[in-house]
Amino acid sequence: MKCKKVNKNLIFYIDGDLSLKQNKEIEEHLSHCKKCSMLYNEIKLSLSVIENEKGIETNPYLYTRIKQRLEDINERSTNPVFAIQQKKLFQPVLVSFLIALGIFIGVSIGNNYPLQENNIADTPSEQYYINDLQQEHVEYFLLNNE
Amino acid sequence: MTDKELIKAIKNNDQQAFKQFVENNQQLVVNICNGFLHNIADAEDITQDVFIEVFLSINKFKEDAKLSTWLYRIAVNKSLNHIRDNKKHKILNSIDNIKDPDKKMEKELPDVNNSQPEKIIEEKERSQILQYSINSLAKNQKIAFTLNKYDELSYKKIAEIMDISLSSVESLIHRAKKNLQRKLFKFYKKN
Ligand SMILES: [Zn+2]
Repeated sequence: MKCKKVNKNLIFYIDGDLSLKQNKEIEEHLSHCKKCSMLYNEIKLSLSVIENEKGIETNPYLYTRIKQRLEDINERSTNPVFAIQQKKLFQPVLVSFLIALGIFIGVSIGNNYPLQENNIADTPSEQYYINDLQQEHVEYFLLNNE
Repeated sequence: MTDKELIKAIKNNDQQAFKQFVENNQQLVVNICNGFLHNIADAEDITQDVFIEVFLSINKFKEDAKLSTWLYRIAVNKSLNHIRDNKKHKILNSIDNIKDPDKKMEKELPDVNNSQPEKIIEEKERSQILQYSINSLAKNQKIAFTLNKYDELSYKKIAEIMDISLSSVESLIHRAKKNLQRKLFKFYKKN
């Protein structure tokens, strides 16, 4: 057997997945090829760490904890119904209140500012004036650059 | 108690039956979870989630199916979801954190009293390389390999849990081993 073929089969050799004949061939190769037997050792060591993680003992309080959590879930599943019912009642009340508040504010603003048509007409022209200045400034800047 | 009787009892909120069911299966469920999570505290948390899900959704369970198969399937799914959602596991899956000895290993130095600290560091590193390599396998290869290697479940049981044929399980595990070996060789060659 050549190194390449041995390398390909090392993990199966370690796991005992190969035929007797293949097993013997690999064994024979490993006995004289240092490179392959080094790889074999590495793979074997790596796979052996799996053994350390096997067979964990379970926590003796596992069932108690599960039971506690199920009781909590039960309690919460009764509370949310109450919370939702509260919400259902509360939402229309809140919406009506907000609408009423909106109307009230609208009416009071209307009352506090009696019609002043001059004021409203004047404001835009002031804004145009400011805008003209800004545009001029930009053009001036561009001209300077040229 | 047969599966059928047990399911009926749990459906009827028979606490004693559920307790018995938990105690009979907890060992295997914890080990399935730990096979994927490699962290006992996490594995125990997920085990609790698994049994809670069984209890809460027992009414959806068809009585002619196998309860243990369903239970193990929930354990596999919950473990994989936990890996997907958990940052800690993402860090572990990043290759940079494995082979940077100063960064990761120093924090986890074993007790001074231990007679073979070097051996333990080496083992820890080996374990991380192995975990990384297994985690980078295709999902179904990873599931089949982990259930077989860490939990020593038979191919038949794995076929039931994964809901695939026996020959598919054989093929998945064969490919998993082949790929795993290739990934491990890469690590050895780098170092
Ligand atoms: Zn060789």
